[in-house]
Amino acid sequence: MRDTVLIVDDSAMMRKIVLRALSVAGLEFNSVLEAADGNEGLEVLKANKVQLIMCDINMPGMNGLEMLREMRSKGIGAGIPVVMVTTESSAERVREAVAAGASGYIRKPFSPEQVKLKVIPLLAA
Amino acid sequence: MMPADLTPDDLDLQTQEPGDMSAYTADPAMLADFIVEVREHLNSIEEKILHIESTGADSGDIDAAFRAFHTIKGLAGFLELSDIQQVAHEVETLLDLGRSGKLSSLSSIADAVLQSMDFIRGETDRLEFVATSDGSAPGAARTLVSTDTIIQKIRATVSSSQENKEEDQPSEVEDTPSAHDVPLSETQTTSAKKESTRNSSIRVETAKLDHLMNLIGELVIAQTLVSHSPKLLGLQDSRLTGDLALLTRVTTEVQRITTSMRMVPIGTQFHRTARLIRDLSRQVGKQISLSTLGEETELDKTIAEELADPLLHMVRNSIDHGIETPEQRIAAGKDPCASIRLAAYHNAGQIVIQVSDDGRGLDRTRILAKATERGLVRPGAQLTDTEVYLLIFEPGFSTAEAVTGLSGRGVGMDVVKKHVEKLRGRIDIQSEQGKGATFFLRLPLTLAIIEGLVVCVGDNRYIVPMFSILEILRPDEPSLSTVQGRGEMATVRGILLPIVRLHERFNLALSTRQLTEGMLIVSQSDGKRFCLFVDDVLGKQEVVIKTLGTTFKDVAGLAGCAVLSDGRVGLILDVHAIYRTPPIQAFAHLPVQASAASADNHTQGVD
Repeated sequence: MRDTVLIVDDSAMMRKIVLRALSVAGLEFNSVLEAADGNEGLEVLKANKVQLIMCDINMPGMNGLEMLREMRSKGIGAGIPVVMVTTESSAERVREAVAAGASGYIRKPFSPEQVKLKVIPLLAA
Repeated sequence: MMPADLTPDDLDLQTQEPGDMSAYTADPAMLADFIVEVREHLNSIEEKILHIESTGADSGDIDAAFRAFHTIKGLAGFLELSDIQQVAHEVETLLDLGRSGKLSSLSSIADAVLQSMDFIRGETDRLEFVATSDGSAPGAARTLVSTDTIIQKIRATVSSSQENKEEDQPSEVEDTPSAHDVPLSETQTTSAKKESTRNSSIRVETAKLDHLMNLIGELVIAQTLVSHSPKLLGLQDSRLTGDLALLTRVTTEVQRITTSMRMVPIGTQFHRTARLIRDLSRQVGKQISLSTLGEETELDKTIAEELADPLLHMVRNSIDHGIETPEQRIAAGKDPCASIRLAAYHNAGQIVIQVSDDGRGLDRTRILAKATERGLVRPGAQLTDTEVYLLIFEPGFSTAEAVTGLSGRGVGMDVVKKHVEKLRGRIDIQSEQGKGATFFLRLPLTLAIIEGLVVCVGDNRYIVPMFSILEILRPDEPSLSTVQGRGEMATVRGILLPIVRLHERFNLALSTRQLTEGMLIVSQSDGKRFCLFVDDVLGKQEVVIKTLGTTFKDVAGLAGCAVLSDGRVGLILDVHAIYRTPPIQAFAHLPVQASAASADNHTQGVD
């Protein structure tokens, strides 16, 4: 059992899906924090200790990549693995995400198995 | 932290197989969430598209609509709803061209987008139906437009409205949807910034809220009983008095907050009429613009939902009967473009919804002639304008002749009245020949609690809902008279009003027989005023409505019961029904049973 995960997505159902996938993948968390865009995500990070961030890219307001850049440049949530979870899957997009400091990249729709494969190594590290 | 190393596999996401999705597809709760969220998106899309169509300009609306379809597509992918996914994907392509300025005209895409939206709405309705009816897996036969038809339509729109003819054609549906995803540019993010100011919120099942509401009702009763307990009050203990005051304060606050949790803004219902106005005005060749006021006005969710149909009906009625053709309007010296205005505001503890048009107004003579012909009024009956206008809400008034193809389902305005009465609301009409008409719906803020006037007749306590009271007075001898054929009357502010003695209606022993010794409560029923005679008025109280149960549900004149502050039970009166039983004069045709049935609808269980 791990402590806290932050799920950032503008769709409430998508946040549930991510949580469901984590749980089916055997990744249970004591507490789950949610945010609907990058700004909210940053607010949550400033006030809470989290062990993992699952973050959408395309959101109104601050998007996922902007949030990630903000985190890395200001040292918010340093060391926390950030997995981008998005429908966007062009190679440039993935490179852009990695350049911004993403630890992993999962394309929607994803199965719990895929989440397991990507996320477990990050948490073990 | 250093980014993780990228494997070639990471960069090859497009070929990634989704894998086993049963963790989502096998869960009915996921589907339910999907339906709720998709409907929210569809409503917002409709609003955006109609806005683009009416203004011809895009102020971030296309981007917002794009985003909404994008989310729908994404969610549908998890539930393996490929039809919805494909259609959403195609619209996304279309909207993407729109937001990057590659379409010749923005309004040209409205039809295709709205139709796709309807398609997805139809699909979610079907999924919901399948899921709730027999629990079998979604996939039952579809009766709507086929997925292919919709996709062809969208593609046709794409090719016909594309300005530059570069080879930017939409690709095959079989492609992975994400292949078309376009990187988000800076301008898009800034245009959407204003939407990000949302309050954090959680979704709660309505059933839970209802249950909570009922429990709060019980709490209020318990608190009232304790606070008014003569034994406790007799103790004269200052500490106890303070504690009781605290209990009252907290209970009131809890009640207020719980009520507010059920509140939703009326705007959504207003937006639904925008679509109707758009489609109908095209169909009948009338030009109509819609304006709204007070979209943010909040009311109980149940009331808001129940209001949807009446609103649509009234707007339909305006377009059908009220608004003239552009030629007629020009001839009358009016702007060829008619206007319909929807407004909502709070007034005296009620919410008022106004539906106005600037059409020809209601035609008193025609309505009266028709009502007489249908046997709704006696020939020669003296009726005020309001009474005449309200006749259009009578069952049987609307006919095949009056209800054109426009009114679609072939139902008349009596549906409006039925819904509004069910919500314990009231309808008023103002109309001016040649200038237009305004319908007023007055509705309570909540269905669970009403403000009532506690009155007594003999030993019995009754509660008269405040919304049906115009004024209260003690009559003097000169104001009372008996009119041949109409019984006892009182002159109130120069108008002769019939008196209904409550004790006669319920056959009660009473302590006051002299009218001058009791009180008259001036009420209004269907635009007709009358006085209700009671022994005395005891006070005003907020009461939690309890149903009378099945045994007494057919008793005309009663809307329910409530526990009073002294612990006694008072019956809540249905003033309309009391006035109509026994039938009176011009309304003699009305079956008494109908009133009794509507009285039953007024109650809401808190057992």
